[in-house]
Amino acid sequence: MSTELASLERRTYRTTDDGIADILVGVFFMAVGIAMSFERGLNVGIVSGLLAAAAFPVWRGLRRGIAEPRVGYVRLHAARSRRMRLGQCVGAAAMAAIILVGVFFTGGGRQVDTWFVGLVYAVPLAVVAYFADLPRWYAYAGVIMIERAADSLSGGPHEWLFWPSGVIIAAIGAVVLARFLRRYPIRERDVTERS
Amino acid sequence: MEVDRLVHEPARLSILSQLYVVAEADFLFVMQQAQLTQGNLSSHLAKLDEAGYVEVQKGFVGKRPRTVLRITPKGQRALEQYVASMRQVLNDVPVKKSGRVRRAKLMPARA
Repeated sequence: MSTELASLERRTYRTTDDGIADILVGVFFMAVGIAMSFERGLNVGIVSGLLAAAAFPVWRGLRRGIAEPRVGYVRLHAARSRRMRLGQCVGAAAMAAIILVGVFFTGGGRQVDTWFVGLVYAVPLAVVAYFADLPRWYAYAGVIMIERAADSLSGGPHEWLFWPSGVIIAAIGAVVLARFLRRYPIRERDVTERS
Repeated sequence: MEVDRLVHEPARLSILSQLYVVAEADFLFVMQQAQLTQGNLSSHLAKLDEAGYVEVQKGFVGKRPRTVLRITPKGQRALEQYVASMRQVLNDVPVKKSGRVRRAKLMPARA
């Protein structure tokens, strides 16, 4: 692909950036914060797993309902799709590796340092930022780590500290979504399609 | 130098370029990206389809109709050749460092 077409591909890909994934990630962290607030009632690992499993179908449904009627349907270029899949694999592998390292160094994970908890979520976010070409996701990873640092310095663990980062991420996602909705109002579909 | 007139038209060039950088897209997406009206896009697509540069597939998603567009290998080759030939044309234009074109080379000699 020539340089001109590569930059067009990047621009085209950016039009699919609707902020829905950001909102879901924000909601995820808020839910993790709630789960952590219950000392014995909810297992954070199970809650995280369930939410992560539900995230993709929910994201797909929201995209079909909100974004596609506005910008239309597009299947990305094969190279871009491969890169995204690779990003998902690397992100999941990084998360698993950090969890394993955390469990190994803390004798079963009972006394996991708050920094490790931050890394478990921040590293996959940074990996997604790199592979999905979404620079603001680096900031989300930074927010998580700043939050964990604040938690550590203030004599944590304070589980509620996952709340602010969730709210910040969801709020940024809402702003991106609002811009997207303003930029792409619903238009009448092709007359030939309706006939 | 031979330039494919079918690709050279700005709207069709935009449509082909958009389809070149994605695997497939529907009518609405291309219309948004190429900033064309429905009628314009339909007529340009008919020409590109006739030349075998794009593939138009009409179908349904649930009860809603969807027209999916794809660039064909022939269309990809045509666009790549067009880009190469236009690059060649632009490279051959003599331009000074200041950006001013040398008139002597571009203007025909006066009798």
